[in-house]
Amino acid sequence: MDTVDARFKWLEANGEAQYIADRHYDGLLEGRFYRSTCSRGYIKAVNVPELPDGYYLFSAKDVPGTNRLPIVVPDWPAFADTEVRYIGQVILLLVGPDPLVLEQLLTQVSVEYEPLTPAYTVAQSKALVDGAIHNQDNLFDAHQIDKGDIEAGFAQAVTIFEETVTTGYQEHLYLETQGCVGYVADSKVVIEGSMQCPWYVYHCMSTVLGHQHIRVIQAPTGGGFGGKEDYPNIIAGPLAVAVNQLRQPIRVVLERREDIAFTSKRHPVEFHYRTGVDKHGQIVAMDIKFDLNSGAYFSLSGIVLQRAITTATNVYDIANVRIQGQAWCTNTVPTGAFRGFGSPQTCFCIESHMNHIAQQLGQAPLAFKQAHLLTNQSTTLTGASIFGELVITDLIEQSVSASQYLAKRAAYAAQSSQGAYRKGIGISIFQHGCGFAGDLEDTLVKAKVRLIKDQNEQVTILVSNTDIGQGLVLTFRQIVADTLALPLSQVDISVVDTDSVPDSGPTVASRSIVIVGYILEQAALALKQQWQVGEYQEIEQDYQKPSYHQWDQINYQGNAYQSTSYGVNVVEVEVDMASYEVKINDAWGCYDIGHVINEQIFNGQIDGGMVQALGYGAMEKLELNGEGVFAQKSMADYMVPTSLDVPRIQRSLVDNPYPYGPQGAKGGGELTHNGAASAFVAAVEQAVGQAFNRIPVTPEVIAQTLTNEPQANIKRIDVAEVTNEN
Amino acid sequence: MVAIYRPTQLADALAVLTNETCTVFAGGTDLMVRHRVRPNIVADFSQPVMFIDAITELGQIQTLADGTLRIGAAVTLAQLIAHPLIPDLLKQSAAKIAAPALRNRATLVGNVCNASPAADTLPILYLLDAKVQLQSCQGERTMALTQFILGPGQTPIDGCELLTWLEIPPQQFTQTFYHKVGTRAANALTKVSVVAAAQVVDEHVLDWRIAFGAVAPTVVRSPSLEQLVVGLNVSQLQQTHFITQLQQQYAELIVPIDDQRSTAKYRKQVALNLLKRWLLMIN
Repeated sequence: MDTVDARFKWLEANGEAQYIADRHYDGLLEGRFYRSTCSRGYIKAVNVPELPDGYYLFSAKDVPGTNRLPIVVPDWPAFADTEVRYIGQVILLLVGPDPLVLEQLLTQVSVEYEPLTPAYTVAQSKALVDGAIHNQDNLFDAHQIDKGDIEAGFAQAVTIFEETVTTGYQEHLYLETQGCVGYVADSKVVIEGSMQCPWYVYHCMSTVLGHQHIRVIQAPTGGGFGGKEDYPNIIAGPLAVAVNQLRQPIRVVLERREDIAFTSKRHPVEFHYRTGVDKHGQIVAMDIKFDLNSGAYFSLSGIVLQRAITTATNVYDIANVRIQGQAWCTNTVPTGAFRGFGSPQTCFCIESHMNHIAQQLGQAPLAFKQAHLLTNQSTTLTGASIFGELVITDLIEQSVSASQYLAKRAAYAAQSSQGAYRKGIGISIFQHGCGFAGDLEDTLVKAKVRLIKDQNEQVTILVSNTDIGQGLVLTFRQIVADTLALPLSQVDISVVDTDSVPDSGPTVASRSIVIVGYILEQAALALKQQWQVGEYQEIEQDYQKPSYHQWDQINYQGNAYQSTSYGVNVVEVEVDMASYEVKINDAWGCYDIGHVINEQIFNGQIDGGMVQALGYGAMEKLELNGEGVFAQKSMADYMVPTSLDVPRIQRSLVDNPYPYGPQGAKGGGELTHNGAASAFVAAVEQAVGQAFNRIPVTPEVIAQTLTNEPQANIKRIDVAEVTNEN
Repeated sequence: MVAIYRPTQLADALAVLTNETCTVFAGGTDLMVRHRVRPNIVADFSQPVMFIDAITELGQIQTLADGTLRIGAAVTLAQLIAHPLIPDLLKQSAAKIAAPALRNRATLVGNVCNASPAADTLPILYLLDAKVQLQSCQGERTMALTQFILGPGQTPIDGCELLTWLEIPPQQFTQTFYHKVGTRAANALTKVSVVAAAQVVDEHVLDWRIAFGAVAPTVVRSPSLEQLVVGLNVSQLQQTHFITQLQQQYAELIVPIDDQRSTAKYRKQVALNLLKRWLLMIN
């Protein structure tokens, strides 16, 4: 068992860390995918050139096990066999020693297709031209939640607001592109890779190979953000087939353009709101319908859909709600996991809708939101009571005070509409459910951790959760060291290797600290009680669901998540009214993540999450062209913020310890991406005096909105008279 | 594999070019992107490559007796930014190109020879009436930059010629204006850029110029429209009627495109807005 270098991030910082692309192996072969050039169709023939000695081709025919990757449901083939569903789908893996020869051979492969009319958008998916891509109706998944009585709610309404709010694709743009290397050691097929979830890769390999003489090791990983949850399977499946057959080391590393074009993206979403407000200005009913574009294969869309549905009303207590969410199959790159997993979409859309209703009612957005906040007495959207103390009002108070939100909001409202530069300030309130949806931690994941203490009193942590740059290895060591009252140097953590670590679940869903960290704390407590000086000891600990946590996965009733974290963001902008460029002058982030264990590490999450969310709201435009591929192909086209595009972020926390988290901690990694896009757009809206109902709000979008005739995106229906007649 | 030359003397470089057609490589920051294959695979150059970075003479910035600046073909953007005699407008545009690492290699003359419609330094060089000097074993010729840039990526340079020097005549401006609208604040390609300069004495406009980048196949600068402004009183420039009229006249020359980074409509609107901003700034 190898342990991670105890000098935290020392190797990465010095350039000594051996990422997949840096590795050298004797006899290493390179692998390249031949990908579909057709969006939708049947494969009629595959024409391959004669291969030079030492070059090999692998296809669906070579799969010894099952040619389907079990991500959630086994629908995504390792190699396309009879049909292709998107441009970029893997058809062949070409392997050989010289990358240049591989490059030339790839140009000599051709595939004949019988094309069908592709569907790229949800509307096209629903139209079912040339029949369904998936099942009979292209619908991957659909769920509905009803709370209260929606009809009775609308009966009390004097005004109804209808609005559509949409979000676009988002690319992870992790520093290190996707890559894996495979080889045989001790008669096992070993895959090492840049990945979040080695046990997922293990299960995919065992399905594809049909045996379990396999092993998966996480390599140093240069960022993931969810992008390395499902996609490493897509590389490892075909790669394992080749390594299994050739018994030689083979590496597949995607280059940046390939990575941008063909790896999973954040789901675009279209929310349709119908919201009833009574004569006191209170929301009495919300009817929400939304569609997710899931791309060609189901992958993680079901869980993204569940999160988007169960958090659709964000931090608000609305008495009567109906939510219908649907995930659609299209002929585009499958959309998958991305930090927030449906929540950044939900939070942007509902926060914008709330702002726009407030504006229509002549109310201040913050006051309007405050009048609808969840309280300790509230029943959640999914019918549960609130567990623990809500501190949303403290978060708001702290944010408003630090940013001087109210004074600035008033001052900017009074600024000249003719100014060359105009300022605005916006606020967003948001939440994030920590851990797997519902009680899937208990029914599906069943995480297990192990601690080993050797004869020299050195303790080693064995978990499958990966450090992908977020700093997990340090926080885990800190949890165990603090519990055992040992110096940090006396606690190591194992490299994530399926030969030595138990399955403590994937590194996703803001679960690593609150779920796995807590099990580690329990394990450390047990070890402390049984500690025998000079003895080798092993402690295993399983996840145990807290007694309050009840969940009905069929009807989506109960505690939608084991715990929920909260946050407030304030963003201040200045818009150049000649170029429509937006300068972000200031940004504040205030969070309730229970009790923070390592503030410096969490500050990294705040900075990174907020910058990524500001990019999502302001500039990260990723659009499909007419061929169903992204128009933005490189880092010169797909814009993420640089350090000059964002201000120094002002961070703060409200301490609110959670009894079932390590040292009182909840999750926080995704939370930090949920709010900044909405606060940014609200600030731009104040500055330019127009509403926006989609992100990203680029300078082009602002220009278009300001130079066209102003149009209200939100439809207002006055039903007061009708109600009176009744 | 292709032949590689790295002469240290200009005469040697010209001799190589007389014998064979080479890709001339100064900083290489555009060439390495254009000829890239994949990471860890050597760039794919189809013809011999001649590096000119070792020619000391061409790494110089000189001032002639009449005040003309001469910038050698191997002068990097970083050198330019640090040099006391380089006009501030040119420094501003160079400083907005990419990031420090790239500016340490990329050259001004490379930016010119690349002849991209979105080249950052070209609008400034147009505005400053820059000239280019082409040398070969047969001799040399000097031409206005406007004659040198024929279209996107197109120049009249002959295979045996090397663009050795770029010349900027002395200027007397009382006011300048530069606005690059990039895809973001740094490491950004240009969506539209506007550069302008004027010489105003006692409220009389003695010189007035404006150039637009990334809104047409080549930089837009119109001496005839500029002549409409020269000779006027500052107050006349700022009359709404005058501004609108000038915007309409420039609108005919501004013919941008839609691409993955921006839209034609946006580029045109912003170019005209910035023209107005510049007119209102003059005093």
